[in-house]
Order: sequence, then C-alpha cells, then structure tokens
Amino acid sequence: MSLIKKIASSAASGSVWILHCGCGVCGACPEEIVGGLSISESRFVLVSDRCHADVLLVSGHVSKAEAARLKKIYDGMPSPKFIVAAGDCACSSLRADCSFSSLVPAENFVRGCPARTGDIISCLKKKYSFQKSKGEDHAG
Amino acid sequence: MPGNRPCIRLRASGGRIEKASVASYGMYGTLVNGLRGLDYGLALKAAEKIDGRISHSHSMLFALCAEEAFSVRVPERAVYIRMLFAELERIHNHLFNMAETVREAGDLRLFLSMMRCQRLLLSCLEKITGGTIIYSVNVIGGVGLDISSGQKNEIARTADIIASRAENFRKYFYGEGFISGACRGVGVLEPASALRLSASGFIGRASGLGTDLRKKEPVLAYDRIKFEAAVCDGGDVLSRLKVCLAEVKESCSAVKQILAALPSGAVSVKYNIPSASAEVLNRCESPLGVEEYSLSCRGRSNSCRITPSVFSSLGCVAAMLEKESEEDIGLILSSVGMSRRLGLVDIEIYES
Repeated sequence: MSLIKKIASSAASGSVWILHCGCGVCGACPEEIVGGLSISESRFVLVSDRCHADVLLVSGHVSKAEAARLKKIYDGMPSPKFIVAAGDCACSSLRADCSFSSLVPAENFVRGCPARTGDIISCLKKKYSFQKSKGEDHAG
Repeated sequence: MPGNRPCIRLRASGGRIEKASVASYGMYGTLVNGLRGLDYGLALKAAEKIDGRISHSHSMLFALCAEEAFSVRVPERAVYIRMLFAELERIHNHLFNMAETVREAGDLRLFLSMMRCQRLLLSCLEKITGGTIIYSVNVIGGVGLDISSGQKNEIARTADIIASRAENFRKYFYGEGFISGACRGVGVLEPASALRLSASGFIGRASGLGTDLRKKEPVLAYDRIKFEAAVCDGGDVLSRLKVCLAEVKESCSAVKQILAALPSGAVSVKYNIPSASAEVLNRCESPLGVEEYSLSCRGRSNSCRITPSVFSSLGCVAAMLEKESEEDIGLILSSVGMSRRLGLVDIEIYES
C-alpha cells in the first residue's frame, strides 16, 4: 500500500461523517445532537450533504411523508452506510415502518427523551470498526 | 404529502426572495388540541413534549392553569424553583440560538465558545434534575424536586461563569466586527410589521416592541425580581442577537436573586380535583415568545387549547425573508430559533 493510500485509509477510518435529519417538531433531540456533537470529539462531523455522509442520524417522529424523504436520502448515500435512530420518537416510528425496520439493527436505536449525546457517541463508536474497514476498502 | 414540520413557501427570482408565506403549520396544527381528554398528570407530561426546547414553560403553564382551576395554593418555595428553571431555560435557549446564528454568519470559533457555555449549563441542569433539555420539574401543586444548598452554589457558580462569558461575547455584537457586518440589516422586521404579526418574545423586543409579559403580567414571583427588559429597534438579525445577549445577562442576574431569596418550606401540596367546572386562561413569556393555554375542566375531564408562540414566529419569519437573498435564509432562521440544522421547518423555494 502506498503512503498516500495509507494516509487516506487512516483519515477515513478515524472520522465519521454524520447527516442529521430532524423529522419532528419537538426540537429537544436535534438540540442535543447539534449541540453535543458539535463540541464532542472532532472526528464526529455533522455534514449537510448526503453524498459525503457515512451515517444517517434520524431524530423525531418519522411519518409516512418523512419516511419517503429519508429513503431517498439513504439511497443517495455512498456505501457502506448505516442509520442511527436517536430518541424515543425516532426509535418507535422507525421500528414500525416496514421500509426501515430491516435497515436499522437493534443496536442502532438510541433510546431516551431526548437521546443523550453520550449514548449517541457510544453507539457511533461501536460502529468504528465498521468505519475502519470502510477506510481500508476505499484505500484498497 | 405534507410533512410533520411547518413549511414556509418562497417565490424567488435571481437568488432574491420575492414573496414568502406560511404554507402549513405541520404538526403544530394538531398539537393545539393535543392535550384534550388526557388525565391531568399525563397532560402535564405531554405538555413538556410539545416543544422540547421550552419544555419547562409549557408544563409550568399547564400546571398554573390546573392549579388555578382547582384553587390550589402553591408553596412559595415551589414558585421560586419554577422561576429559577424558567430563567435557566431562557439562558440555554438564547445561547443555543446565538451560537447557531453566529455559525451561519461564519464564525466557528464564537459558535464553539457559545455552545460550550450552553453545555456547561446543561450539564449543571443534568446533575440537578437528571435531564438536560427536558427536565420534568413541574407537578400540579408545586415542583417534583427540591434544591439543596450544594446545588444552589453550583447553579450560582454556573450563572457567574456564563455572565462573565456573555460580557466577552458583547464585543462581537457591538462595534464594527465580522459578526456585526454579516448580521446588520439582514432579515429586518419593521416595528409596524411586528405589531401586525403579533411578534412576541425576543423577536418582538428586537423590533422595538417593549412588551415583556414577565413585567406586564407577572406570573410566579417576577414582580419581586429586578431585571430590565432588553429592547432594540433595529429589527434585524444583529438586534435579535443583542437582545438575546442582554437577556442572558439579565437572566443570570435574576438567577442569583432567586437563589438569594429562595424561601424555605415544602415544594408541593396535595390537591383534589373539584367536581365543579372551571375555565382558566393563562399565558407566560417563554424564551421563544408568548405561550397561551386555555383550560376548561369538568371534573376529571379536561379540554385544553394551546396557542404556541411558533404560530406568530412563523408569520414573522415569512415577513423577514421577503426581499432578502436566498443565501441569508439560514441566518434568518437561526436568529429566531429555527436553525436549519434542527430540522424544525421546511423551506420550499419556487423560481418565478
């Protein structure tokens, strides 16, 4: 592996780019996510473009209309990718939605009202090995 | 298919917004009657979730209505604790709004500084209540937790730190700095428009309306606390930042006064639901504007109607967006507490 590929692999494995989609109107979970992740470890980066995102972080109640939008966003994200549901509203509504229930494994549900930043970060850290393998894939 | 969120529809031409209007109020339309028919205890918990950012104001207002309907006299200590959390909620809301606004304006360093300040307060609240943004303090008949002397000291220390940092933030908003340049003259809401659209809270005060319900119709013990209502007459994003900053400082001072005057005694009383019917209308100044609750009770069944401040705020945002550049949409939304990153409002843009 060349030096550039090694650097690229290291950089990609060390950072998780997150696209946050707030679907509800309460605002507590988004405030916790935006505020908490902004000042947490710098490797968790909130992005606004689905083309750059590794993780789709969903908060708020996902209605049918919102599920259709989320599906479009998720389909547009580059692989490998995963969805994390933050907060009780997102967890219960995503679990009930047929199009998403198979895409979101149980460990990606972060419960709480609102979901705490620490819990979201620990969930993302569990995915770290996944992200690391992604970096090697990209480099290799 | 309409989504959960309120929607503002814009007609733009050449990157400039020609017309803006509120297309739908989203889930807020149904939340107006969301508490109707619920048990009083459950309705109080549900009220907290109507707007998580101002959860304390919503639950406090429902509790005030229920207590008035049941003729319950709340202990003085509970009144002061409610007021304390209302002011702490105002501080963390304004800090968040200011942080998101300066981030949209392009100052990441100031954004991080304000956000750290906000997280400091949230971690203090988490230690006391167990929750960060939704802290479930209110119960009908008082409050569900008491504050120890150690917790009093911690809150006072946090208020001191925030007040001193707020003094440092002042230099960014006054004078000819980067933030002043980016925010001056953007998203202007004229005083006449503010009055016509029933602008309330810091949005109204930034447009020259000197109405602060905490002074005009004091609930709790606001008539015993000394504070100034911050008013600016510019009506633009910079004026809203200045009002928020001034309110953070005033709230820090109010927190210190409340802690000094905190009476001793019980924090809640038991209550009985009377069989006679009663109708109560109450409103209060939340960090985002004036919230209004109308409660009519008939024994155990209640009928509650909520008028959240977001109804007037959305109309004000539509007025602010007209004649502005498309690039400033994020800045204007953040300045009224509807940052795009929170996903609280949808923007639909049509090219004419």
